Amino acid sequence: MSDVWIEELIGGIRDTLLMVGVSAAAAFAIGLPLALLLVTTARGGVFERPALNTSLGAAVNAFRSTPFIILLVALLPLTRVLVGTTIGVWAAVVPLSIAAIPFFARVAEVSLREVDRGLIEAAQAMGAQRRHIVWHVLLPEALPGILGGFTITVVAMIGSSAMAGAVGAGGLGDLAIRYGYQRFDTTVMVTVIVLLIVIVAAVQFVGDRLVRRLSRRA
Amino acid sequence: MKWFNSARFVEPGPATHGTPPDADPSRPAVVFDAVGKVFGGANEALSGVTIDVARGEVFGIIGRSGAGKSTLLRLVNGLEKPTTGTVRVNGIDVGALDTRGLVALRRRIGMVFQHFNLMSAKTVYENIALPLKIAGVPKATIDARVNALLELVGLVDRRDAWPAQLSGGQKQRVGIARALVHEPGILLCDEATSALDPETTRSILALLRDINRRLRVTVILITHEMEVIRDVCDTVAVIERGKLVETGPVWRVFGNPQHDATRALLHQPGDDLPADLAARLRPLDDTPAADGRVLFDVRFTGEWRDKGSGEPSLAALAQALGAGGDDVRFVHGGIERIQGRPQGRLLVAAKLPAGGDAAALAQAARSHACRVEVLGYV
Repeated sequence: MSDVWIEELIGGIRDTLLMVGVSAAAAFAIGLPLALLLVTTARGGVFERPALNTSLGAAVNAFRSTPFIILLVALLPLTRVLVGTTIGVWAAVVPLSIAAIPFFARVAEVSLREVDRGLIEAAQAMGAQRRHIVWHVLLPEALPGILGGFTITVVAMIGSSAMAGAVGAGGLGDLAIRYGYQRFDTTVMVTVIVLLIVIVAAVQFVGDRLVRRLSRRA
Repeated sequence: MKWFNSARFVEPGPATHGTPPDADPSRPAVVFDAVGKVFGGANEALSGVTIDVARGEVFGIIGRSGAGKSTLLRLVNGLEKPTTGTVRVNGIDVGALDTRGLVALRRRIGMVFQHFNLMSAKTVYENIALPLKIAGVPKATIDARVNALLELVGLVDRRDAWPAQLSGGQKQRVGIARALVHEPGILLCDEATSALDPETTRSILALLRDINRRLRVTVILITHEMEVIRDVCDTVAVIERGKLVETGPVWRVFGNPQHDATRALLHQPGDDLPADLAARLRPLDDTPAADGRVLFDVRFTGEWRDKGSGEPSLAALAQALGAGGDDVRFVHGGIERIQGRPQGRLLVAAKLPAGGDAAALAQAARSHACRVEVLGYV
């Protein structure tokens, strides 16, 4: 392995972490409120709005059904508006986020939905208003599940980010495709795969630790 | 155990928005006025229920599962709205309240649940503090009240435990403390002991009774267990298929149930005899066997005390039934005290003197019991 290749590898790690990190933050910041909306506007929810709930659900499903590679290209005009460019790491952040937001929203929605109705009733009986129920009951009670779901989302995003090379975003996945696959360089391929395994394992480890610490069901 | 002795208990707390403490002691705490509730346009859960719950009493609502008692309880704090009729709490029509009014009302009414409904992500302290925290009560007040309540329910040493680390009884004590943290005038208990073992049930009931007496909190509880009613309630209402079928002081309803649903809930055998007795029983007009005795059904309904002669006299009863003879025997039954009134049923067998009249003996015994019937020979 030459020095150039080592530099490429370091750049790849940096690009992957940057792309996934920024997109994951966006997915959390937008996906969680979206999940709350999906749960609270559903029939029997604290902000019951069935029509809004149905259209939100449909939009989420539409984005989740579109293959990521298609989304990557189809979103180019939006990407240009948002980050001012259609190539490079930042150009990949937009489609990655937009793919991850509905995914995470659905995962978080499941955890929020599992919060015992009795707890919501108890909160209502003690004089809690709807925002109190969201903040003091729904979110804290669902938090372990939400964080577990976020870990799954981040791991899936690391996988998707391999396709970001299509817009010249680089990253480890791009390295594996260009050097390892297209040039038949087994060393590069194996190195990248090992690195990805290490990153995924680290994300999963941190996520599991957080979930365990928050699950007071011992 | 500080706050309820102090003057603070009657002061309107910051959370009550200056609502007067549940003032007029003569006015009922809760009035159900011809209340009906229909779910989904067809499923009639309640119809025409009219009940007054007096201030300061423990009021029990009993019925089989699905009888509508849970719905009835939820009308008090507006978790359900009546379809017809009105529910008034301290004179306020609950169904007419807006969100703000409802929130203020709920801070004057505590609620305890069958499955405790504690927040698993909050400690014991945080669970009890939650209603005050939501109401924006200052931290120092929260601290004082929660600590006083931890003492009242006997969980001072479990203050920082998570609900998952508590036993069922301890969880319900946390639930009760949380329900009392706003110093409410009314406490609603939704099958509060149904998930607990008999011993824990007794201790939770004793705690509820204690709270009722010392904090002068009106308690409305629903249950399907007659023991709960017998042990803590002053007044009972029996609900069957959404209708009120019987109500009154516990001793009267227990001693002399009028409705089949009440008898079924009481597991009262009614006129059933133990199987062996029933097999041996012969009608009066049969010639009795040489050692045959007359079987009397003697009942005490609790009305006895109204006759003004203290406890029923065993000696006088034996004297009357045995016509002065010494062969008078207990066969079956028992007496218990409910609200200080002895009541129950005894089957007594007595040897009939030669030429004696069983009906006349029963008549003589009626001045020593509430009801005496002749069942036959055994």
